[in-house]
Amino acid sequence: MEAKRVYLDSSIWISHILQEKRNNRAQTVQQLFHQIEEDEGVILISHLVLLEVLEVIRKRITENEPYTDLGDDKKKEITDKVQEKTNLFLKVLSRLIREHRVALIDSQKPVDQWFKATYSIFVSSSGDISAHNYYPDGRRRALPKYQYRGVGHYDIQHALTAQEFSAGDLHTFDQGFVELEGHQEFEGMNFLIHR
Amino acid sequence: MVVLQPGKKWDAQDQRERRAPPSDIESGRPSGETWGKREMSVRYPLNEIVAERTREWLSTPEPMPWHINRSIENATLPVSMLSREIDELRQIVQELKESNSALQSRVSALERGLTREVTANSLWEISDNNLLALEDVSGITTPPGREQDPLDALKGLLIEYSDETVDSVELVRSVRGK
Repeated sequence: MEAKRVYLDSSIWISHILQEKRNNRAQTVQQLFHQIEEDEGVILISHLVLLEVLEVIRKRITENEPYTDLGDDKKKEITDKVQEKTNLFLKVLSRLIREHRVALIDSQKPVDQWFKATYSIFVSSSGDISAHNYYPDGRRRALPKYQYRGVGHYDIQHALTAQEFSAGDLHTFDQGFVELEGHQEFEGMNFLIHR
Repeated sequence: MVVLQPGKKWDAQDQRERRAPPSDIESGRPSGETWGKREMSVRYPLNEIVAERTREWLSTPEPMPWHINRSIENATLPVSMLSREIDELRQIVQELKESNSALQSRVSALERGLTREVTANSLWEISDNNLLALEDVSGITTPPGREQDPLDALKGLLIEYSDETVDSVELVRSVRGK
């Protein structure tokens, strides 16, 4: 029997490397890895996920560095830290890929077909409009502000890549993927959206 | 032109001569009632017979494919035929559209399935090639034979940059431009 293929969204990898405490997500990821190992499944990681994870590493390290000054030395210090963690992540990932526990994938479709598929799903999804009356820092707004939340084109491309490589499941913490559940394009693939 | 039926002719003559119906008709009943009964007996059976014959004639199946227009008014003959033919053709066009759409969907689904099958079958070939490209671009080499499980090695890789407020979804959204 062929091994089950499981696509992990970037939020799953980020949660694992940061050991996220929110909603016990790090534990959820640990159990997920354990289950995949037990089922002798294959984890799919796309170039899109890889780049997103590397970008989060870069931003997270930079934005968490305590401010002292903005000289060249400081910039080099931060850049070196980013490079060290990036290399570490890539080395470990390379091992997983070499051991065929993780497959590094990207779409094999021509770019025009790829964007046509993305576009057709994007325009058929309308998302949701809500209102909120708080600023990001928690202060109350004088007037509520409308907010659009819906599936983004990156979400669609993650799902399309997973589908192209016959992933049985797509795991994520991002509720935006809810809108792709039940879409005919993704028939046969389960969207497992964790809290 | 108004054609008086026999009953009506009789009525008209009676009314002209202000003549009441003979008292012995309908067994001496009051005149108003008797008058009404006589009208019914002459006029309505004729109408009913005509209606019955018309219904029988209309209900006779038409031979196909020749269409006989049985409309009483000859002026509407070509219009009704054309309308019917247009309706029939519209129906055929609609059916063709539906079957064409169904066939297109089926072809697309098969094409997608074929592409997926080919891609899925060459998973490791694609992955190995991507790894070579990644190592080439990043300058990373994979030293073999490390003891720690790689998934455990990734666990908490950025733990010193984590805190209680970390939200992986928001972090990913920040790089997805949401």
